[in-house]
Amino acid sequence: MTNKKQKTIEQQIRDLEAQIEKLTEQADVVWPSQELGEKIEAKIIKWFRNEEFFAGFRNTYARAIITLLSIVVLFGYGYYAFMNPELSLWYLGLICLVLVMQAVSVRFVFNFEEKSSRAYSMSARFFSIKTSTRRTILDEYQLRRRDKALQRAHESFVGLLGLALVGAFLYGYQEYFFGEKEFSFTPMPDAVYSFSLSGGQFLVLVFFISGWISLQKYWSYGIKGEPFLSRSESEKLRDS
Amino acid sequence: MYMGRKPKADEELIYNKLEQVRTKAKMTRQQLAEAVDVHYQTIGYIERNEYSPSLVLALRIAKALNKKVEQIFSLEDN
Repeated sequence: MTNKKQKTIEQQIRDLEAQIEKLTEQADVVWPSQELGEKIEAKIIKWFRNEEFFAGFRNTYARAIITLLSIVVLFGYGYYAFMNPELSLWYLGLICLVLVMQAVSVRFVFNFEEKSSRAYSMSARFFSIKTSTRRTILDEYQLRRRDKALQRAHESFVGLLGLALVGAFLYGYQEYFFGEKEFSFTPMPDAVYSFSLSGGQFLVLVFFISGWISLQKYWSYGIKGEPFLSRSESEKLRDS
Repeated sequence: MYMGRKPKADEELIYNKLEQVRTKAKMTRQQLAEAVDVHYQTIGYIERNEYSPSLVLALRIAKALNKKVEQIFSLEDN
């Protein structure tokens, strides 16, 4: 008897769920303005995706020139600004300029789209509005190209950090490694660091480090702007 | 022998007959790209075996060309 009653209640719940689903589907009306908006959005995205202007300077001399220019600015002008600290703001400006050039050259300017479209779909779900298929400006190749470049940048940073630590160790104990003092691990001698920086030089150093961190991900796209291997390159590598 | 930084072959390439199948279907790269919602250069990279597409994109391409995915993509160079 109780079992039968339970089954009837379960059936009623199932019927109610079906009704709710049906009503939700009916509520998902596509308004004409929404349809028009989607069409316009699709056209804009298609234009962004296919327009040659936004294709970047991949495999062009422009890309190579921008890469060389950014190296010259970061290291060359960086050294000059370090020696002449009154130029620190010029240094910052030039770093920003080469950063923008790098960003344009690899279509990185549209990198924000992933987050915004996710936020859009979440808010749409909240208001129970029927959402269309998610369109993105960057396609999967471009996204993987970016991820590959970031992966390479990370690898470079790890290597550079290791080098910097070794450099700092050698510098701190230079008297022991290159001088006459004898090194012993018991007791470990103190490392000696002595340098003075002016306010301007400190600024230049900060701009240099932040500029390097920002530029490294663009350098990781390579001179050609393509972090993927071509088939011939891959086969060559396997044969070597 | 590689000069400079040695690149890593960390991605196995998938061979494909996309160019042949697409030409047979009388579609341009642009048309196929629009059908599968990617940039037309991406189709070129796939055709030249410079990029292995995701399973989703491979399935979409096969659907757009009215073929089975294994008729276009394979692990061996046939």
